[in-house]
Amino acid sequence: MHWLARQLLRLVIVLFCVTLLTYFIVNILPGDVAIVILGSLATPQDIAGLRADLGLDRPMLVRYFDWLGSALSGDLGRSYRNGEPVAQAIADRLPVSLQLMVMAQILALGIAIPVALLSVRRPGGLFDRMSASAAFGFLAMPNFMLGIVLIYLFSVTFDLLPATGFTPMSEGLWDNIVSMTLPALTLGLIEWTVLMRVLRSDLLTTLKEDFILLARAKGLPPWRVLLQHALRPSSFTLITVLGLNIGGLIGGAVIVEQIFALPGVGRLLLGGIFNRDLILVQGTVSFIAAGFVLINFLVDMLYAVLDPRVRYARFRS
Amino acid sequence: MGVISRRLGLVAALAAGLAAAPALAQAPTAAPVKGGTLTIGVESDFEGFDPVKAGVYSNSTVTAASLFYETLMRLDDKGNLLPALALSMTPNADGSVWTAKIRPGVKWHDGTPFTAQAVADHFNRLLDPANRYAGRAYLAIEKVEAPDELTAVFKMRGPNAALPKTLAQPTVTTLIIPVKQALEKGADYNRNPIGTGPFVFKEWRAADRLIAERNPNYWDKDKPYLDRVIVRPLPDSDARYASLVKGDVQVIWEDRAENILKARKDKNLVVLNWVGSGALVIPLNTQREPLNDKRVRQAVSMALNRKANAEVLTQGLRPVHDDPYGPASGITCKDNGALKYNPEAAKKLLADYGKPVKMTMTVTATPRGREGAQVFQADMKKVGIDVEIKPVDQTQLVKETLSRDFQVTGWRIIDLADVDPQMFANFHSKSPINFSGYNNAEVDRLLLIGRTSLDENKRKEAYCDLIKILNDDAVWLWSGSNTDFAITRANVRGIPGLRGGAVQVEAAWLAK
Repeated sequence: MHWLARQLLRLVIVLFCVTLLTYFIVNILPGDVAIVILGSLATPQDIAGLRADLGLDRPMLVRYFDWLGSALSGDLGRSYRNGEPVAQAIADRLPVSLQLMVMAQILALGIAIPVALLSVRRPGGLFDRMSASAAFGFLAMPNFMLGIVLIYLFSVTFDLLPATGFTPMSEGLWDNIVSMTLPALTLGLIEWTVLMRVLRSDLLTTLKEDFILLARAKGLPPWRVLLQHALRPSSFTLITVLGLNIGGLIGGAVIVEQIFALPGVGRLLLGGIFNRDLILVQGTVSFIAAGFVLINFLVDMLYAVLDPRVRYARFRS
Repeated sequence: MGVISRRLGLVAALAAGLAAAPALAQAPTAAPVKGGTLTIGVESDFEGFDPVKAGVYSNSTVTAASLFYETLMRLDDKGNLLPALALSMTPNADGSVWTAKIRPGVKWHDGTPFTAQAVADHFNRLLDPANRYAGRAYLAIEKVEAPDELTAVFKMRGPNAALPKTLAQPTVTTLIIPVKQALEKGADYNRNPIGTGPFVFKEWRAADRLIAERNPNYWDKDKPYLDRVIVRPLPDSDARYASLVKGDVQVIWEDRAENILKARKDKNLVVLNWVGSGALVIPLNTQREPLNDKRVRQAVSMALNRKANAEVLTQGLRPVHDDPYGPASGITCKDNGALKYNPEAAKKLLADYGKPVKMTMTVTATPRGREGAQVFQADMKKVGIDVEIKPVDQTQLVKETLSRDFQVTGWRIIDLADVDPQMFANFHSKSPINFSGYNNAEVDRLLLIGRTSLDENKRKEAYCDLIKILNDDAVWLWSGSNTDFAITRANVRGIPGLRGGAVQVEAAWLAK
């Protein structure tokens, strides 16, 4: 438990630093929400008046600690632009982004694991070389381009999936999944590449271990050796990369939500940046950062589940 | 004159170098068909529908707001006034008071009657400085009174000829909202609007869609033809275009040249093109060296190859004019005194000036802003003017420009039905928005004629005299017209000219 308490304390410190840093970065961005709201013809008096109403005339540190105090009680403030509570805006958009990322991750793993397993059956063989080339090809492709290519392929040419838009689950699970398939595929097709390469490399190392030799010597069929003996001990780096990749996934989601017009957190953030809606940007970035830190904390915990040696080592420390 | 042209008509018009094509794209050759759902793809999400809270409406928001809000008067594509919520607007002898006769029997969507008091409440709220509505700078209205239920009286700050047309174009200012209901609903109103218009607001899912349904009690009994309209913000232009090709949406607003050119070759699509009033402009600060010298400004004007640049930057889609009026304003001048492209003459003027000329151009830090600045820089270099480009954030550009902290910048005169509000604001020496610091007594006099004369011909003459002086003084350079495009599926009919870039569907219908 001592270890857990230390981890939690570290989590709190990281979150504090992240929110503080975000606050300063967001506040030094050029631009002024008062001009965005009032338009290009606003008088300087009106702009100053609105800034005072929004509390933007107070010193930055005072504003930060005010915001932090409210944030700790779950109140992330109200959007400068339209008065919508920031926490509510995030809560409304979160299911879309979560669904997008979970579906993307499932698709990525669904491609990465079988491809890695098939590749290590004959390292350097035709399949291995082809999968490596495909992986590098997808990795090199920017997601905004891949998204448009997929739209033209699956939507315009083959008429299989909608080009843009989101259908909520309340209007039918199938329609909801259909509307999210292309966006998830756009993220997943880039995401699988790293996962596959990492897993392949770890599998190759594992396959040289003595216990694999023993399993083979016992006459187990190759697929059982791979799935039952090699896959689990080879998943360590994969899990780490999955956790770290959440950051990339969130960044990708911002762009993918914009292309496919999905009402998710990424698009909320982008809108906030364009409108200089600093409190919305602050709330959203802090929320995402907290999510990122928390997921990596959980990944840390997952090591212990996967490998008892980690658990024992931590208890000993 | 506004332009809506079918694909071939537009190609022919552009090939001939004409701004105006006579053909109307969606001429109703058959009787309108009732029913159906029309989905429109726009560029951005909506700011909200309370003008005081939203402050500004983008053209996406005007597209949505025009479904449920209306203006007092309307304009046809030739700029003629038509009755809407008001049956007529008549001036007193000098145009300092305008009386609007309100259409009887009109109801808000909540069933309460629409009266002159609602008109007065709407405009007086925008004019109240406590509400900080910035658009009031353009309104020459002192206050609005409602002596009886069907009469609204606009008391102007002085004689004003432009009011009816100004109130006829749908904008954040002119689309009338029910102030009483808005105040009762409080913060909630901004996202749940009530209007008198052809469609009733049903639902707005932020960043996803806005849904409006046919108003069965609409005062124009024949309209609207559609049962339902959905407006979807689709920010990525390629994905927006793909959604149209796929048929997920039936109309899109578009500004990407590649997509517009592609659509013209697609027989399933129709391109609507509107060349409005106003212009894209390059203001020069007449109060700052070296641009306080007329010779330098003229040299800049003659060194800038506006037509070639517009061709490069917009693939020929946005024609360049020699005035900021544009075809939709109805003002055509025989002689506008434009300084033609002439780098040799520019060099002579600079030699006469006798000192090295350097200047900074402030532009938005966007690809479009940078491209515009780069062609300006390249043209100036050819005559020996050294231009430094300063890319800044949009709001920073507004701040620096309005505080006259610039030498050269990029700006836009928006598409309005009457040129007075913008011309007066930009060039009258007493205007707080005259950020070029231009001061010319004759220009002030002509602007006053344009603002106050009730004789339309006299006004046009004044604006033509005015443009000669402005062009000769090279205060602002006109770099392109306000051109808007929408693309529809071939079966969509009845969409009028895209005034201000908004797609209006009150009279739209879907052919079988």
